[in-house]
Amino acid sequence: MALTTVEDLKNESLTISGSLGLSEALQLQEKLLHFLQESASLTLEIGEIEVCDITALQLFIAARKTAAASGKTFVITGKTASLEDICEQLSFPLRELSHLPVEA
Amino acid sequence: MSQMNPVNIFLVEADELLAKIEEVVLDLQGREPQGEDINQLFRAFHTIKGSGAMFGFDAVADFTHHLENALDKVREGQLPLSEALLELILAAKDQIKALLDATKNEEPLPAKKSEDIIAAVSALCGGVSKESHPVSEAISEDARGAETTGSQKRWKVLFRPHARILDAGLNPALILRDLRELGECRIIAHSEDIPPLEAIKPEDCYLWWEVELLTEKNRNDIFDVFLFVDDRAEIVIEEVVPASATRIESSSTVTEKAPTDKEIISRPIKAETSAPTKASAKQDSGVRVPSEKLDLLVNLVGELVMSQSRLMQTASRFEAADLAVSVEAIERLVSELRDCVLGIRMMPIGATFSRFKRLVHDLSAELGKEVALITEGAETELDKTVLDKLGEPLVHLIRNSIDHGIESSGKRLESGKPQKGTIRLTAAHTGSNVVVTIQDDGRGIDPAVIRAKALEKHLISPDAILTDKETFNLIFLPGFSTAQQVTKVSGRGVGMDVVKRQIDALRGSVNICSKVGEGTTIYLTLPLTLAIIDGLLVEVGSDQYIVPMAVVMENVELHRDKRSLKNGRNVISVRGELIPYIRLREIFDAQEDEPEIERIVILRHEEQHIGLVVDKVLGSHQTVIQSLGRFYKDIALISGSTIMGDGRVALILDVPGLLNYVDQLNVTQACSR
Repeated sequence: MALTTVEDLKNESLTISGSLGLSEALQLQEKLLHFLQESASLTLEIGEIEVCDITALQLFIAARKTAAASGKTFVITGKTASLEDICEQLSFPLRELSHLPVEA
Repeated sequence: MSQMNPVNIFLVEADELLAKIEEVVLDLQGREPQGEDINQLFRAFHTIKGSGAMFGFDAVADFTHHLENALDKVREGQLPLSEALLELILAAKDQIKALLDATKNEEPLPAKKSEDIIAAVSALCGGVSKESHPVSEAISEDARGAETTGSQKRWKVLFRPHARILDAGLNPALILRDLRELGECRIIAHSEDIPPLEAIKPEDCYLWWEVELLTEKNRNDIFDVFLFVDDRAEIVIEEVVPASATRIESSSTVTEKAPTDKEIISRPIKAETSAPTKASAKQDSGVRVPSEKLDLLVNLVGELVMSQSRLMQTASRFEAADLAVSVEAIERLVSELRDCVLGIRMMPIGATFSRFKRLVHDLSAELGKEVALITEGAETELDKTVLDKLGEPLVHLIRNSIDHGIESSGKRLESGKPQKGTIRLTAAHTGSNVVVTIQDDGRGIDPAVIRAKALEKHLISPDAILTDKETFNLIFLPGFSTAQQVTKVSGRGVGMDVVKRQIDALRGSVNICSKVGEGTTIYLTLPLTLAIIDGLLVEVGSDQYIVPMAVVMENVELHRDKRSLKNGRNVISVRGELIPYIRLREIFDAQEDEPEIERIVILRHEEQHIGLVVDKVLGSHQTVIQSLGRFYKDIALISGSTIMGDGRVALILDVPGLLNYVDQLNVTQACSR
């Protein structure tokens, strides 16, 4: 199942759903870069992500670093069991992805 | 099956592992095994077993399991690594290869042999062999790791995957899962190596982990978790002793290693986190490329070189400075590209040398002789095509050396030689050639015996006067053998003439030096590469030819009035030496009038000088060799062709083939008179 993205430039948000593996990660990387270049902040909604792996986690961390370096805000919202699982397997604290709400 | 099919990749890797097993076992002949030797053997069998099962080679996996078990017992100190076990490991290595080939080719499996080896291994595992290398305390301690059972120990593990680990289908999450199953784990993930979004490569792995593990398992059990990734990750496993216990900090600072017994799998923990180390980057830089792709690349570069040459010639007709600058730049780049591509095909001769350790081991055992093989210059590089074709002649020469050269231990001691014979195999660059030397300290070659055999076979006349070198060269004649009896190993006289032909086909040469009672040295001189040739460009009529520079001595003028016939052969006197010559315009039926002054290119062939008469010598020329194609590949006079800068084709002369042709022609003409 492919990755679906819904962009809302006005509200500076990007909603992604579906599968986030390697091939989808390349697609998402471009979108995130574009957003972070064009916007002062980005809210990434991931609640509809069904499958993700280490590639996705590394991409989110990279996006956070880019945003921080340019003084922009990057927020990940939504809960997905897939991301929680991969963080647990890789022993990466979920909250380190920054601004994750306690509840969706 | 395509080259990149996973099963093919497994087969290639299995071959490498089997070669490693053989190398380690042969290296252990006559020395104490160390812990790392045993670990290497265990890892190799373990990987073959696991990967074999994964790709459907069940017979291989089942068979290898028994060897893995035996080596596990050795690691635990329960079984010595005896001579008998080492021999069984060698036999098992051969059997695994046979099983792989049979499975791949869908042939019946050699099951009986597997059963015999398994039975022998089981018998060893059930008792202790009388001929054993005592496993020292240090080895068993080293192989076992910490104390064996009963107590929990604290371990600090660094797991730092290489960037491309994900490409290999390996999942770090599964490794961490397996670690958790060993005991109580505290795992810290490090993300500081993850670059910003614009620089990250999603296919690479940047995360790495520090693990503190409390477990009853030993070091080997912990290491086994990383068995399939140890060549794709930096792994350090340290025991944390109470006196210098350290804590894994949650920051990116890594603690210094404790001064206790430890086993570094790859590199020590660094004090600061950083990009992957040079060692790990080096391990990531290899890429498997099918030979066909390399050959295609070389051909394309060859075409590019010729096109560039034509471009230069065309550009020289225009007086345009800008064009000249661009053409020169292209020439530089093409030259660099050519050198780079040809360099890709260069491989160290060490892999070829490694094969012979097993050959010497097996032959020595078969013939009841003690022989040591010493190799030097393993890093010397040669074109892959030359290397591929060099193996067979070297096998012949080493077999002959062991069978006919090296004496039995008793005879050696009687003549004051060391009991063990030595064969020294060396390789070294000399200019644009590589010289491979096979030297033994055996009985040497007696020229008188060679001469007697040559007379018996009517290969020389009774009044022939030959130097020792010329006498030794008689060995290369077909059917020549001075062996008293034909052995399974050699003696049919088939080997040496085949060796000569194979080396000639590589545009190389063979020379023998020998001294009775002291030994024999055989020199193989080979070109670095078959893809390009240094040649002398000559003209005959309207055609151009390339004479390999390796055989060219000099060239002199031939005036029409100096030509003479002696005994029906064209000869010329050069500094008092009478040199026979061949007129190329007669061979190639050139129609144009011959010039008043021709040139004779003096060649050296098998210790003799021969002249080739041409119209003009145009100069030296280095060129990429183009094959003649399948319709013309059997023409004996020509070994290839090249396209000159003006678009004309120049044929590359096969000097041995040309001389044979002329000899045959002279014999035919003599018979017809």
